[in-house]
Amino acid sequence: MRKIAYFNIVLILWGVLGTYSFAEAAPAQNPNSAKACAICHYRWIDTFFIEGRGSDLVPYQSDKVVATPDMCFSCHDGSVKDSRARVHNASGHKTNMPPPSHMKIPAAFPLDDDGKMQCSTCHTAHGVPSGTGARDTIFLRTSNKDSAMCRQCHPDADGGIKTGNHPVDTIKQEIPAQLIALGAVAGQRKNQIICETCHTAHGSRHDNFLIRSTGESGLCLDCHQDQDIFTADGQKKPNHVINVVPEKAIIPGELTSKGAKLGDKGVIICQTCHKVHHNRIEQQLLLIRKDEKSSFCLTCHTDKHYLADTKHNLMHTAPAERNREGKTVAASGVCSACHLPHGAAREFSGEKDYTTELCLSCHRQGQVAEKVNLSGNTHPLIVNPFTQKDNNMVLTATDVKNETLTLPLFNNLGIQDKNGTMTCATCHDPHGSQADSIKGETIKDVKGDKTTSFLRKPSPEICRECHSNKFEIAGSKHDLSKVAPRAKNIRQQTPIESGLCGSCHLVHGSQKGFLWAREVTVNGGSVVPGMCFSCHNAQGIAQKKVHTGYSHPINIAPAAEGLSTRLPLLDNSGKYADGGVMTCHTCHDPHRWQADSAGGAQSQNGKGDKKTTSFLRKQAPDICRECHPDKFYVANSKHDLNKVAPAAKNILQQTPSESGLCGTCHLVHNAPQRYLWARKITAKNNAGAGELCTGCHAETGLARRKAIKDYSHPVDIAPVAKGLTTTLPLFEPNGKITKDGVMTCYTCHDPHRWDPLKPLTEDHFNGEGNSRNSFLRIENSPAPKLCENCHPDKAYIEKTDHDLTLTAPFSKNIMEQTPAESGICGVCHLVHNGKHQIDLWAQGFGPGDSLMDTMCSACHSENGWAKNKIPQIATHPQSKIVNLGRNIKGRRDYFPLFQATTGRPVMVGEISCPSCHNVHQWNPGLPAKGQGVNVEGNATDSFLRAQSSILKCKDCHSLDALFKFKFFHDASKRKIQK
Amino acid sequence: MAGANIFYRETKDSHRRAKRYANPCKSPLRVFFWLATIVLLFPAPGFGIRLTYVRHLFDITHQLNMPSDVSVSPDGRIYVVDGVNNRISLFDANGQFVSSFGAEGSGQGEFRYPLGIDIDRSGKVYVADSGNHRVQIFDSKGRFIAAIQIPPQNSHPADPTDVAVDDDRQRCYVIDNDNHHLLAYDLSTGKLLKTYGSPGTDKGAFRYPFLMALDKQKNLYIVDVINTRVQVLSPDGQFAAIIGGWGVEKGEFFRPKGVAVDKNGRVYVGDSYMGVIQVFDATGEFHAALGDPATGKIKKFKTPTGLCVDNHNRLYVTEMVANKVSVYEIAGETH
Repeated sequence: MRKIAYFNIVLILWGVLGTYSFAEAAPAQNPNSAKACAICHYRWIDTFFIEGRGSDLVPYQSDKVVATPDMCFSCHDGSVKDSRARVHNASGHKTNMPPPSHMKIPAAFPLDDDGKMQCSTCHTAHGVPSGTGARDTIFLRTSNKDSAMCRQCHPDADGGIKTGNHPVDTIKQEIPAQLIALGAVAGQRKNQIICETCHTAHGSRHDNFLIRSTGESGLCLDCHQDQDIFTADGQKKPNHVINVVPEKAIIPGELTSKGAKLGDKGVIICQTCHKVHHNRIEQQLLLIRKDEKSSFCLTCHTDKHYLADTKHNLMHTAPAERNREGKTVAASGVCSACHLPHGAAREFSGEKDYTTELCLSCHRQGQVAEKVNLSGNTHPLIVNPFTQKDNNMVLTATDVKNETLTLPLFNNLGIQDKNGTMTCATCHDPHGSQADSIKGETIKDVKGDKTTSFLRKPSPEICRECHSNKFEIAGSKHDLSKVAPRAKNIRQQTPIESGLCGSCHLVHGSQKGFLWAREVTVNGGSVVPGMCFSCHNAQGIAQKKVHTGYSHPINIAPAAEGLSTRLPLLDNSGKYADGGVMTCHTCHDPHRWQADSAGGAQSQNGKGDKKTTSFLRKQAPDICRECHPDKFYVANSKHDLNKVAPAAKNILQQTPSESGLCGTCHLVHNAPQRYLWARKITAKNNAGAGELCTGCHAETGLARRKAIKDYSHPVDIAPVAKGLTTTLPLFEPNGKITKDGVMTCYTCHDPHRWDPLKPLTEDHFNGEGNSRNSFLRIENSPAPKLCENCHPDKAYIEKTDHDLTLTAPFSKNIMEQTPAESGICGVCHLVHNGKHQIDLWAQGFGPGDSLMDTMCSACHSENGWAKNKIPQIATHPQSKIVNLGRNIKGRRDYFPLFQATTGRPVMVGEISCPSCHNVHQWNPGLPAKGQGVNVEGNATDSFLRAQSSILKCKDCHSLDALFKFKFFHDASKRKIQK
Repeated sequence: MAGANIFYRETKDSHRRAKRYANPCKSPLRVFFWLATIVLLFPAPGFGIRLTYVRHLFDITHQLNMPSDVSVSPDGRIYVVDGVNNRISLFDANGQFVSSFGAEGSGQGEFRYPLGIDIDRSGKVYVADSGNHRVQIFDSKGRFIAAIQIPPQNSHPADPTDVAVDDDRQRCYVIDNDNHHLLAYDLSTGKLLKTYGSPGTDKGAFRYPFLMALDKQKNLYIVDVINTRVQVLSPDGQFAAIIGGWGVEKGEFFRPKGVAVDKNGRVYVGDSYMGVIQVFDATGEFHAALGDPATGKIKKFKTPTGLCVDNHNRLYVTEMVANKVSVYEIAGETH
């Protein structure tokens, strides 16, 4: 009794002191201070429970604590089990809070004294093993086999469809492996869904303790893969879109208040339409709203309401038509004719994008909308309108930017995408607008026109969305409403009826390329010319602008001519192709009257100026430069008539400033002569290109100061006939280049380039030319490259003593040209307008008995340039000799004789200098150019024709001819002899 | 040589307490006055025991998520096992964040809920990568060097919760928590040298060993969580002593977790549930509890887990649930 009394006193004292209160400690059931129990039942430790006090380290523990989160974590922190991430640091079943008021928690799952859920509500160390062994057990209070424990507290989420919940039972398909990998638990039976198939009590990082996020419908799609909008290989399936932020559709508060959810970043997810638990609205499909004849669709898609009053409401136009489910519109609603939320409402081949396929499923032969047949050429689909080639030349079909385009584009999933491509739905809103409304009418045959037809905008404004650069055509000579208001397209529509674009193009049903809307009656050789010629022909509406005479060629590939261009070339199908051919379209943009214009500047009646208007893509001559940049070296040269003859007019009576650089000499269209020549031809010769030159370079021509007169290098001769070969251009009489042709001016001259080595960098038209420029194709100084091209044997003179650029650089010919100016050949020969016929001689004449000798002595005389090389005995005694057999050029014993007064070759005559000497070759045994050094000659070189000349000497002077030659050509000895 | 050869006995407190509990009412009147005196004079804990004061220096909180252990490199940088973030975070000596390394995964340099850490004299970092059943070794900048895969025991996967490096013997010790034993590895070959312990409550046996520390003599202090004690093994792996026991009195543990030994041989043991850190002297006797010099009372911690004492007598306390490492200067004590 004393023990009891003392113990009661202790209790009373503690109660009075109020420091600790035993009264608050509910008596434990079967408390045991053994370590095995107290290791969780902290309250039962001896110090607290037996001795009724705290320790030096901790206060007295009066409350029962077991299986609180802190207690559980004291082992689950990794020291026994690491549940940091799964239980204590992630979304898990709620603890330390009371259950919802409507939830009835069975007595088997105790709440704490405050009525809150704790770990111990579900777990107890004295529970049933739920794992495969003691190591894995989670000590639940009852078995959770097939989520049996979950269902005890959550019966309202159980029961499947009939109770408005997602099914929990066996299904046909297997629980997907990816779900199992994420921690999903399947039921005991095969393919059995249980609560833990989708939910996990611990470790979830997602809402509602789901094992995977529904933010992008991932959890639902793991099982319901067929409802995804993608196939496994990424193709779009005809299902209602998910994981897309709704743009036009609006999820109304009516739905969100009932539980409709949006996913991550506001995207539509499965749960936007489906409510998978506690659904009291529509339990068959677990819809968030009952769907009575498309009413659910129209709840969000409020912008589709117009459809009911259009021809796309099949109730008006095809009430008997059934969708793939076999239902009519009357039975399943207006939307169901074309759309089912999870599958195609109409036949869908998958060949095109879904939107297009859907349209064609009716608008095709044999289908309900076959009257609007979309066969033939149609506006391209699945193209990105932002692809631009070169806006400066308007080489692109479109000029729209994505920030200004108001029409919708679609990605390959059929979802609106600012960077997507065109589909039917880009131009057409199949759900109609007020313009399409036939409300109040029952006539289904009302024809669409450019303002209706489900167009998102009336035509041509809808065309302008992408093709505003084509709208410069308005008011131009190609605006048929202005220039040919009665002309009809192939649909028999006048320009007013068809609209601005419709005069020439049909968006659907064209039978030609470029969606051409007019009859093509003339074969243009390829697609585009045929289109142009449909008006520009003798009977066409543009008969005033037809082609006659000579025009710039079309249907040729610039690449085949060695040319390249940025201008548009087309292949046979009319598509842009780098290796394609020229067409009218290459130089002309039929939609823009004035090149480089930014709109305006239209002309219906005025003439084009050939240079800046006329629908040219670029102003002339820049457009010519695109293919012919090498011809533009003519600018600022003496052939730039704007510089040298600004008042001169071409045959169209245009001055150079009016015709442009090229137009002074060439007409692109309707030239009367070859070479598109734009000037009069005054010369009578017919030597191809040469006649063009003499048109100006004549006594009465524009270039009379440079008229070609007598004593010039011959033209109209074929080098091949002279045994010559050349790489310079030779011509047929018709002007075509041929290797067997004749020489013309064009053989040696390139009239477009003053200096063959460098482009002009400044005006040269005032300076005098020389052998390095003067429009020569190849420079002829200091090396005689141009002459050498035909006369290689004459070029051996270079760097010999007869190369006056080396031996007499300050000498001058009769044109007062130094050797550097005239070139090596020009020292002795003038190509044009020489004073002497003989060899086009360019020097004077010295002393001598024959003409040939005087030509040599012009230099080899006291007043000549070679006065240090005067042979004291230069002549053979004058007696005629017969030269039969040795007057054949090219033979080893060639020994020409020349008539003394004319210099013409003769068979019987007297010996002159060139009989023995070939002035162009130093060493007869070495056909090569000189070394550029002064070498004293001897009897074997010294420009002698050949050693065979000695043989000729021998004919008269017997075997001692050589000795006689040396004796009589020695002035001192010959003098003695006298 | 403090601490040498002094652990080969059980602590006195356990015998004394057992004797007292055997007959608590032998002298009721004496007990009454004794209790009354205690309650009146010491209404709160901490007034009847020696306190070792620790002065708070700073907290490391940089994006930590349930950190479990901490270690300090020879150059003073602080390495924290940021386990749920699956990385090791580095801080300078002032607690400023420097860098981190690691990510969730099982590749080299990746972690799956690591728990323990140690750093050798050269600065190499050893991490017990528990979920990947291995120890990973990194250089001081976190670049992967090697890994030691810990083998399963009777088909049960290894659960390495801590690692300690004996530079002198070129070996590292690894605690396998789930398999209740200690393993020693040769660092030059990476081969397993020996396994110590088995499941149980006897000397040298373990029930969920967790974290550990080495003293200067390379005696190994292992927190034996469910056996609520710290076991001491000699450098050759022989059982040496037991520190602490079951209970909430001074010198007793409810949930011992972290252990550290300072240069004087004092052993610091944290209890995550009671939230206290107790100090034991080199003989294994209770010496003091950590106290707060501002209040003069026992210093309370929020789930103290891994501990570390550096060469400058700084104490680092990993407070797991508080998501921080608190750093203190050990500064004097009461009577």
